[in-house]
Parts: sequence; C-alpha cells; structure tokens
Amino acid sequence: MEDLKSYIKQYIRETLPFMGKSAIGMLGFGKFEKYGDKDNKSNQQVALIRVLFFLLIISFLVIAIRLSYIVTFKGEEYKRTVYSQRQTSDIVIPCERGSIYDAKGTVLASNIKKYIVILDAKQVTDYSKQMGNSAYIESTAEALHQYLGYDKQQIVDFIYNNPKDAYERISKDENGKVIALDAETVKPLMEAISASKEKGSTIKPIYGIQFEDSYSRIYPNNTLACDLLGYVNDGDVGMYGLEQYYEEDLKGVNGRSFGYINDYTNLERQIVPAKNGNSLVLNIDASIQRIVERKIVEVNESMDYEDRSGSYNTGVIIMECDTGNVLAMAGWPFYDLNNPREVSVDKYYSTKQINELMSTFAKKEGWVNGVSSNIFIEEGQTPYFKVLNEETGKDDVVMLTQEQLDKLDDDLSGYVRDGVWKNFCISDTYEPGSVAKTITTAIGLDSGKLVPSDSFACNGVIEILDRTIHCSHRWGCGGGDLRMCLVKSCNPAYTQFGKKIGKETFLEYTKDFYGIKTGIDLTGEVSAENLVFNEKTLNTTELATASFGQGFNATMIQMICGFNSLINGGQYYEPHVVNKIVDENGCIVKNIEPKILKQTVSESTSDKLKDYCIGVVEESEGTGKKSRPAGYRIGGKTGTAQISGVGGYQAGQYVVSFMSFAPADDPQLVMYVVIDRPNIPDQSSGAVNQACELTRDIYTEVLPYLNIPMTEPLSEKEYEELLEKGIYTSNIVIEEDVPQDNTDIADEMTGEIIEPAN
Amino acid sequence: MRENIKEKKNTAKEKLFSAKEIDISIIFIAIFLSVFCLVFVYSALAFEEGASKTILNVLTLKSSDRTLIKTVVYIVLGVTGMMILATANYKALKRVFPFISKILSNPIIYYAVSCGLFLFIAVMKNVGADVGGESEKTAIVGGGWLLKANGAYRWIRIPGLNISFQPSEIAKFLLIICFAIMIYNAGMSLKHVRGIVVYLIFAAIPTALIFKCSSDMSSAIVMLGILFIMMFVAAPDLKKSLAITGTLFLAGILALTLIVAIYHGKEESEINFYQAKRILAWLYPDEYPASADQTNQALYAIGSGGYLGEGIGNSMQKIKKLPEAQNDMIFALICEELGFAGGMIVIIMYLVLIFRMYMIAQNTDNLFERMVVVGVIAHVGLQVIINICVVTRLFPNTGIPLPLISSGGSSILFMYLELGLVLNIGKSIVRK
Repeated sequence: MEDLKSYIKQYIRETLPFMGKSAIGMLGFGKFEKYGDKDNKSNQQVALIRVLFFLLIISFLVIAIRLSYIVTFKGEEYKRTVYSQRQTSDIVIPCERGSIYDAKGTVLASNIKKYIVILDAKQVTDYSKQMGNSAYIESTAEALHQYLGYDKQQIVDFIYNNPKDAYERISKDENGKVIALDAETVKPLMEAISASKEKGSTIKPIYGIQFEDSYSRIYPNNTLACDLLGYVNDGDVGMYGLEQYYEEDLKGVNGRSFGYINDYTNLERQIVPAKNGNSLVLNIDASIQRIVERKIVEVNESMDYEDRSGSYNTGVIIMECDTGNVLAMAGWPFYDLNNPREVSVDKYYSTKQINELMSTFAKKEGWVNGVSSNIFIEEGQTPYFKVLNEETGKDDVVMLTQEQLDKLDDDLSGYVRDGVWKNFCISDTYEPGSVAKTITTAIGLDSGKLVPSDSFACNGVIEILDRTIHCSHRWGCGGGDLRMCLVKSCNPAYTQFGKKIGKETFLEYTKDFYGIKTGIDLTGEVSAENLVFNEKTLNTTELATASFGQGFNATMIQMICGFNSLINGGQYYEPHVVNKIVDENGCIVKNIEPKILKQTVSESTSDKLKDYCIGVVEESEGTGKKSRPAGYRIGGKTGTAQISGVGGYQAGQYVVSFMSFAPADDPQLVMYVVIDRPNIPDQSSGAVNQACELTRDIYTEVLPYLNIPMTEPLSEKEYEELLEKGIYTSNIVIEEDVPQDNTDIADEMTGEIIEPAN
Repeated sequence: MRENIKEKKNTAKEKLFSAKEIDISIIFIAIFLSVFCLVFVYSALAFEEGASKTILNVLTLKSSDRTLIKTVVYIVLGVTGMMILATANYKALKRVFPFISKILSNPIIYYAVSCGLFLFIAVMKNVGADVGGESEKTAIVGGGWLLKANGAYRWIRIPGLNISFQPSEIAKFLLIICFAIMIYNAGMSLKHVRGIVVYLIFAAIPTALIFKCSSDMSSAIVMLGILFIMMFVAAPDLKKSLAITGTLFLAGILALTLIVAIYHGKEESEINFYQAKRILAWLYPDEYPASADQTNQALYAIGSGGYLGEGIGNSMQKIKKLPEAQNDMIFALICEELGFAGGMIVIIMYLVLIFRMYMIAQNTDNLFERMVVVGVIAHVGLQVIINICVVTRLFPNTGIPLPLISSGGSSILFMYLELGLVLNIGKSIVRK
C-alpha cells in the first residue's frame, strides 16, 4: 500500500513538471529539445504519410464500390421510388358528372358542389416559425372549432405532431370516412379566412385551411323515375338504369395538376382541366311520368286487403307509336334515389308477404315441403313452419335453427333490395297470358293460316292430350268468329287457332317477339331466351297453351314493342329512353333517331288487329270495357296469367295486365300496365279490372296533357269528373242522351290450365 | 548539396512575391472543382422560383442568382488569397517585416484568435437579443451578431455589412498552422505519452469550444481528426501513438455500442438525443424513417442517376426532396445529374489533388512545412470521405461540406487559403 502511494506521488511529481515544460515549449517559450536536433525521425514520417495516403486510397475505393453497388443493384428500384414520390404531389381536379334532363328540360339528376376541408399543417407551422409566434396555430384551430365544431386541442396537437404534412383531409364522418361538406356549412369559414387576411383585420390571419371541390349527385325529384335513372354509388359509378348504361358518357374525365421541370429547370405546375361529363336529354316527359307514378301509388294504396298494401310489382310503360320513344316507364315499388340504401323490408312488404317470400326461399332450400307452409314468427318464440301432413291431415311443425333463419333473412333482404332497385319493366319475366293472343291472332292472319271468318264454339272446356283447358266463362262463352274470340278472350278457341297455325309458322313468327332483347338503352334488360319454346320443346300441349300466352316467359318491354308493331303497320321499333346526348355547353354530341328493327306483320293484318282490339274495349262482351277513358276511343287487350313457381302454377296468384293504344283511329300512344299479384280478395276474377282502371286513369290525364283532341262525346257525369280533376280541354262536346251503361259485363276470368297430376 | 541549391535560389531572388516553381496542377484542379461548384449550386437552387435568365438585371435577382453571385465572389477572393499566399516569400517577409513575422511564428496568436471566436459566440448568444428571421431556415440572433440554423450557431454576422462567416472554417485554417508550429517547437516531447497528452489537451480545448459554443458537432469531429492525424504523423515513438489511437478507437466503439444499447427499441419520437437518433437511423433505417429520410433521399438520387445521369439540370430529387442539395448533399445531386461517371470524376479529382499535396509533404525537409501539408491533406481527405460516406450511408448523417464544391463562402475561401499555403511550401521543395 505504502509502496503504491509513494509510487503515484513520485509519478505525479515527475509528470507535472514535464507536462508544464512541454506545454511551454510547444508555445514557443523556454528551451526544449526540438525535433531533428537529436534524432531526425524524418524517414518514419515519410512512411507514415505514405500509410496515410494509402488509407485514403482505400477509403476512396470503398466509396467507389459502394457507389457502383447502389447504381447497379438499386438503381431501378430507387428510380421508381423517385417517380412515385413525384406522383403523390399531383392534385386531382374533380370533373362534374353529366346531368339528366327530361324532354321538356326538367332536371331529373344533377350535381351540387361540396367541399372537402384540407388542413395544411406545414403552412401553419412554417408561417408561425417565420413570425416566431405560435399563436397562428391557435388561430387556425380556433377557426376550425368555431365554424366546423372540431376539437381545438386535437387540431393543435395534430399540427405540432405533423409539421410537414401539407395535405390532411379533416372533414370526416363518425366512422372516419372522408366526406364533403355542404356549401352552406363551409361558407362562413371561407369568409372568415379571407376577412382575417385583409388589412386592418382585428384577428390573426388564418393559415393552412384549404378546400377541395367535390361533386355530389342529387336527384331533385327523389323517387321520380327511380328505376329508369338508377343511382350513383359511393365511388361515383352509376348503378342500374341510365346512370349505368350511359356511364361512359356521363362520367367525364378528372383533371390533374402536376409539377414538372421545364427546359430552364424551373418547376412548373401544369394543369390539365377536368372534362365534365355529357348530359342526357330523355324522351321521358316528367309530367307524364309523374301522372303514371301517382296513379300507380293510388292503385296500390287502394289494394289494402288483409294487412298488405299493394301488389308485388306494378309496371307501366308508355311508348310513342311511330317512334318507339319511351314517354314514361315506372315499376312499383319505388325508392328514394337520394338514399338508395334505405330499403328496408318492412317498408315494402307486409308481414304476410314476408312470410310468403320466406317460405318460398325455405322451399327452395329444401327445408320444408308441402303445399301450404308459411313461416310463423312470434315474439319470444323460435320461428317455425306449419306443414300439412297428408297422412294424418294435421299440421306438422318444422322448427328453424338460427343459422337457417339468418340465411332466410339474408335471402329476403337481398331479394327486396334487388327487387326494388331493378327495373320491373325490363328485368322481370312472367307469363304474359291473354295479351299474347293479339300476337297469335296477328301471326295467323299474316301467315294466312287464319281468316277472320274462322270460328269456334266454346262450351267452357277443352282437352288437349292430358290437359284440361278452361274458358274464362266457366260454362262456355259461346265463342264466335276470330274477332269475337279475341274480344271474349276465349282460351279453348286459341288452342284450336294455335293448332291451325302450326308449329313451324308459330316458331318462325314468335322469334321476332319473344326471347330477344329489344335493345332499350337501359341496364338490366333480360332476353328470357331460355324461358321460351324452341323446336324441341314446342309440342302439341305447349303449342296450345302458348297460343294464349301461358307456358313461356316474356318481359314487359318485349310485349309492348311487339304489340306496338302490330298496331302501327308492322314496324318494330327499337325502344329509346334517351333522345340526345349533349355536352356541358348544350351542343349535341349524339342524336338518337328512331330505328325500325324489322317488319313483323303486314299493314292489312295490322289494320284488322287494331279493329279487333277496339272491340275488346267497345263490345258489350269485351273484357277491357272498364279501360275506356272519358272522351277517347281506345283499343286494347286484357291479360290474366297464372304464375309458375315451385311445384307448378301457384294457387290464387296471378299477373293481370292490360295492353292498349290510344286514340283508336290514329294510334299515337301505346301503354302497357302490368300488376303482379294484385292484393285483392279474389285474384282470379275481376282482378284484371285493376289494370283496366289504372289504364283509364292514366289516359284520362295524359291524353289531354298531350293535347290529343277528344274524339268521343262526354256524358255529363264524365264532364263533371274531368272538371273535378282540373283537366281542361278546349273541345269538350257534351251529348245529352248517352245511355247509362248499367249492364254488368262479364269480367274476364282466368281460363285455368289443369295440369295432370303426377 | 541540397542546402546549397536552396540557398543559391534564395539569394538569387529575394523578392517579396515569386511564382516560380509553383504547382500548376493543384491550381487547375481547384478551379475545376470550383466550376463544378458553380454549375451544381446553380442547378440545385435555380428551379425554386424559376431562374431569371438575366443575371445582370439586379432588380429581378432571385435567391438562386444571389447565391451564385456570392459564390463567384468568394471563389475570386479565394483564388486571389491563394495566389498571394502561394507567391509570398517567407524569407523576404522576415527580412522586411521582422516584428510581424515574429508574432506570426508564435502559435499563441492563432490559438487565441480561434478560441476567441467561439468565446465571442458563447457570450453573444447569451447576451444579445433575437432580431428576427432572415430566411425560412436561418434566424438572426445575438443582437445581430449571430446566425442560427437548425439549433446551431454556425455563423458570426457583422451587423452593418450583412456579411456572415463560419468561425469553424477560420479555426481549421488557423489551428493547422498553430499546431504545425507547436509540433515544430516541441516535437521530441511527443515521444512520451505525457507529451502526447499535453498536445491532445491543447487540441481538445478549441474542439470542445466548437462543440459547446456553436453546437456544431461535425466541425468538431473534423477539427479533432485533423489535429490527431498531424500528431500521429509527427510522434516519434510509433508504438505509443498507436497505443493511444487504439485506446481512443476502442472508446469510440464502446460509446457507439452503449448508445445503440440504450436507445435502440425506443420510439423515434421519444428520443431527444439527436445524435443517437442519427446513429440508429444509420444502423436501422427502416425503424427510424423520419431520421433516415434525408439519407434515403440522397440514395434515391444516386441510384436514379444510373451510370451516366439524367443530364445537368434534370434532377428530380432536388425539388423539395433532397435537403441542402447545394450544400452537404451536393454529391448526391452530382450523381443524379451526371451519374456514377460524374461522381467518379469528382472522386478522382480529389485523389489527384491529395496526391499532389502528398508529393509535397513527402519531399519537404522542414517539419513545420510537412505538418502544415499533412494538416491540409487531413482536412480535405476527411471532409471528402465523411461527406460522401454520409450520402451513401456508410456513416451516420452529419452535415459536412464537400471541399470547394459545396456552396458556403467561408469554407471555399479558407480552403483556397490552405491550398495557398501548400503551394507556397511546394515551391521550395527540390524535385528528385
């Protein structure tokens, strides 16, 4: 211990003077042995400098290797990164989607400008740094808090935490999704910002808040023409209807603002302006469309039998006779285009309908079988089905698991949504029923297989092979010539007419009418080509039922286009909804002219058929008597068709329809009304009157609106009714002695097809 | 024999200035590098507000043009200063101004001026009031006498003239001369560890002042590196200097490991010690993206340049991505615009420059002269290596200018003056 202590003392005693001496010597004072005086170490220094130089060369080599490594192996990757960093600085300038106008210029769909609020934290931070005052950050946060209700502290924190973020979209909904705000909401803030930057402003200038334009689709008439127009989804892409069909024309091209380096190495901003979408001008007349939709709602509300409001579907199409232009098209149920997702099951269907639908799905899944099995949902109980057990004659109860119930719920809401959104007039197929008799008649006359004098004596029933076909008059309508058979809509007669026409001729003609797309400019048209007959399937029975419109499927648009050709002289027009496409300045980009696709029947056939159809409305035995509007003569044909489903034709469920044209002598309009399962106590008889009356109600308002002169005298009662409705016509003729039409006409009833039990 | 020839020369021409036997190649390389400097400083800045095409039209001068003109002025000043120093005849000077040469041959004056500059910063930054912002990045503080950028006081500013200079660059120039004299004075004391410690204490004081007063870590590292290399070359006992080098090296590695061990794993925003952040971002660039971004952008620039580059003026990275493209990151800009080839040309130029100086250092007999040349070699070499290693991620990010190419008046001016000293020394050597 002592040794160590003394050693350290000794060392310090020696060291300190030496160090002091060295220091003084280095500073150039005192005498100190200089280099070179005793032993010159020059050679060692030269060697060390050489080592130093080699170390430098090695460092440079390492750097060169590193550089070549980066360039050779990372070059491509880094180059891509450089370009991708550039692209993010691009700004998208939104384009405006094209509007949709009706024939008179009424706006059916347009856009409103909205604003996305952008917080530029970099601008605020830079400015406050420059001024050395953080109060600017506060004033920005305060403005956002005052005008838009954001949390002040949150904004301040964001700016402090992201001082380099120049683009943060802060207008969000509860789920954190970026939304655009209405002009009224952001306007006070915009004004406050510009006011704060003016000279003499009392508050601190607000920096770092910017607004980005955004367009939002708006439908001013909410539900009007919903199936026709379709809607726009969150990604601004059209769904259904015109929005989807004309997507390419409507959508436009977004503009871009991007930086690039020009020849003088300046960073310039280049702006490619947005190209707004083209607008559509429709053939649809919003006034007619409104009348049609109002009448559809009225008729459906009037059918409030058994806790169920309205039909499953009600479709109406009005078409111009000589152009194929669609003037109105509507499919009940309607939905609000501004809130297309608000489609709840309860809103459209009653409990009974829901039960019916669910049991249909359950049968499809194979969970239940049997004739009448409805689902029973009671509070606090597991849902169950009651199925009739044929052996015991009692109801068996089939319970459902939660899984099965969820599946049924999914099926149901999917069905309802799809059913509401899609256009019944073009997307749904059904068996057209007696309306098809017009086509059968036209085929017969045009091919010469039938002549007007061909007659049939109906005794109410006829058997075709294994099937029994009833006339709508259970004990026989008596029949008559070709015209009277159409007027009375006699099914047994048409089985014979079909036989006369023959398979080949029937197939050749019907391929112009059924199983083809009409080419209407709407999304979702179906052709039903797999639901019609072909050479193999059209046998004797099928030919017999097909002659009166059962056993195959068609769409409404197919039927109305076909019928239109029958009464306008045989010209089959392509149906058009859009009249022209115009650009944002109103210049015509494309005119859509009427287009004749084919000649279906001869003019003389057409004339005869027109006469027959007038008979349907005018003859005392005609099935469509109730469709005659006050003041006009019209022609038409009724239809009551059975619905085919799981296990054959569905009991007590019918599609009733009325096809008509007006005025009778010089047809200008064709209208087709279809009510799918009208909600009345007995759908089998008299249901078709619902379609006839709907037709009459629509004509009563639409024909005067179109300034089509009245051809028939009005009775006093009719005149009063018209006055009451506020329909003023210049050429009202009142005839005193019109005999009161009291005869109770025989309503068209369904001619049942009794299928063989198998 | 050698002595005779030298004396003959000196007696024959005892003019105050003489350009005879000057090393032309060093001057050429320096001017070549300055041309690079002007081209790329302009390229780095000109895009910003759109370059004005009329440089002479003072009214429309943009900041890029102002920087260009400032750089040209400093290069002209630097070349003039270099030529004066290179041609000055020391012997004649000693004869004509004996008092001045006596003062200049003592290290104290250099040492005092260097330390005084940093003490001035230390005093002014506490005494003077903040004046305001000069530009987006720099602020005038210390009663108008200092400029502050990124938290470091790198500039002393003369208020009336609005001229500013970097004391660290002046200190490097002065301290190379100062320590060369000190080694000349007390060379043999470096034989002992104690002597080396004294030398290192002398070296540590100005280094600590740079680090402490102007918060300029990178200049402090270069400073210490230069003085250490001078000591290493001069120390007569190689074993002892190697032992000290090894000890310091191990201490450095230990410090690095400690920093990594302490801070690695913490969130980027939680680390306040920003040197630690830079070291971690160098080792784990993916985990510390904000701190690694600058170097990443430099790598993208180098990589996207390819072998032959995008062409002068066509850099994409300089626009708002590459920070300090005219300054610390200028090598990345050269690589993007002239490619690998351009980068190699610059490196080879530095190598030739250093080789010429190496030849002078090898062939001079005077210890003081040799030490000055070694100091300048160390200065150029260290700055080139550290600068390029930073942009290629071989070193952690630190701000060191590329000699003669980076913009920055003081660094260009005093680098030229150092080259002037080397040229002067080179005149007296005898070709073998």
